Amino acid sequence: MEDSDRSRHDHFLRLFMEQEERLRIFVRSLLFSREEEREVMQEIAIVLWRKFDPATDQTAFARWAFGVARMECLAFRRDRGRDRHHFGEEVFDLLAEVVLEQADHLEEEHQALQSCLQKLPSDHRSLLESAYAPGVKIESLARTLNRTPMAVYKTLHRIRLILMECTQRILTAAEPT
Amino acid sequence: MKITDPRFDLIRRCHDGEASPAELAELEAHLREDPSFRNAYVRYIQMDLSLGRMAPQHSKPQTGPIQSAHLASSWRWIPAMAAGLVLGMFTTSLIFAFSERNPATPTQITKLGDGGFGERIGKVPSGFPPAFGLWSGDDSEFVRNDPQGGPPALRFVRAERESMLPSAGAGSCDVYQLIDLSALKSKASSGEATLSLSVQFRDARASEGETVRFIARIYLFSGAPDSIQAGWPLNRREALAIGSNQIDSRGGSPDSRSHVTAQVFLPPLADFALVHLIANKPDFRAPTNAQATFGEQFIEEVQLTLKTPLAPPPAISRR
Repeated sequence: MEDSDRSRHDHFLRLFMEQEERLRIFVRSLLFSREEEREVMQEIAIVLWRKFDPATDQTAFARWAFGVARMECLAFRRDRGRDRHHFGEEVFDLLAEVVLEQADHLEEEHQALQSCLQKLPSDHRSLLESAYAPGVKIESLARTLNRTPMAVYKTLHRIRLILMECTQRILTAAEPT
Repeated sequence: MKITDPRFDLIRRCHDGEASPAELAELEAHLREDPSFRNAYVRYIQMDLSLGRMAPQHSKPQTGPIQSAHLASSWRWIPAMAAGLVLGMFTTSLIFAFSERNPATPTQITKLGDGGFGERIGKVPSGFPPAFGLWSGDDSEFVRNDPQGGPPALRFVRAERESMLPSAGAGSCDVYQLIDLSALKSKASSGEATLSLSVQFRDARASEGETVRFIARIYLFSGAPDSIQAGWPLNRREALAIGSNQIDSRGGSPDSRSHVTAQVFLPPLADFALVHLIANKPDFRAPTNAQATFGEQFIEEVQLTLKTPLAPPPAISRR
């Protein structure tokens, strides 16, 4: 690998890694499905790498990457021709704005979440670990637990809300007065 | 927005794929008109992604009760691990199925050693492959012809526990082959070549039974194979890129074949590939030390193809 290629590669990696989680949140907020999010993220990563200009700075890369993500989500919806409701482009822009604002606090959120997870009852933690393990389908997990998929979905939802409230409380307490 | 707000249930229904078109339209209206709902919606998505990211990625899907003693350490966000995790997620991001929107053409076909299992017969060597071009792995065997008269094949026999994960039950029968990529270095230098792993599986059960999942994976690594051999499979996150695809079978069509293709972006730094083919029983639940058995599941053909794009990447103007 030539030095210039390596330098381009390293520079791209740094910029992409800074944005990857934000892009993932943005894509998921538009497509809902974990599988679709992964598929579109792969396309986004490929497009960004192919068209990457090494002169791009951090701010310009973020703006460009969100533009590419927006286009890839639109293309994905168009190509799949899914007969379902799709957000209008105004909502795309509003969501991108929120993701970029909230992303400044991602690291603090992660730390707060870690603390909140430790406070959960063990059966809730067990359920989370099972439900979020790679490749697990809620339907088969529900069979294992002798519960309906709907009951598992609802329990996971309640746990997410508990964690959201807990992390919000920690982050609010940590804010400078 | 308080978590008691009933609109959180709307988010859940959309998130879990239960929402009607009218509810999706309602969600969009709230997103457009209410900034606090928008913030809450993005936080909910972020929470879901964070939980997925913090889950223990090294484990196989859990299907039984989980000991809480394991959880304290597994559900921990460890800053020192974050960089590696992010890099791992990035390389995973480069797993992709080459779509119609990105037309590619095969320019070179690299056949795996023994890709068709033509001349060999008997047990597949146990453990991690000792050299390039050799199949090895869990309990499996080369068969010249299966009872229905099919082509030469590799037959999955029995799952084995991972030596690095001795406390886990075994639902997967894994076989491996190492591929030397040094001859492809010049092709990889553009950063746009892809490797396509295509595998023909067969489930010869005459009647339907429990689900068997056939998985085709390809990992790309830099360095020498012995650097990963000792720590396999816990060190698979060190891969530069991973391609994976799978198909489920319940049997009942012994003459049909399942084709699984996994594609992966070929980074210029890749020195070798590890092909990993799996027969897995996803519903297998058993106490420690139990091993799933197979016997009627086969790999009939494996092919690795290098693909390069038709056209050079579009130029980008410098500011």
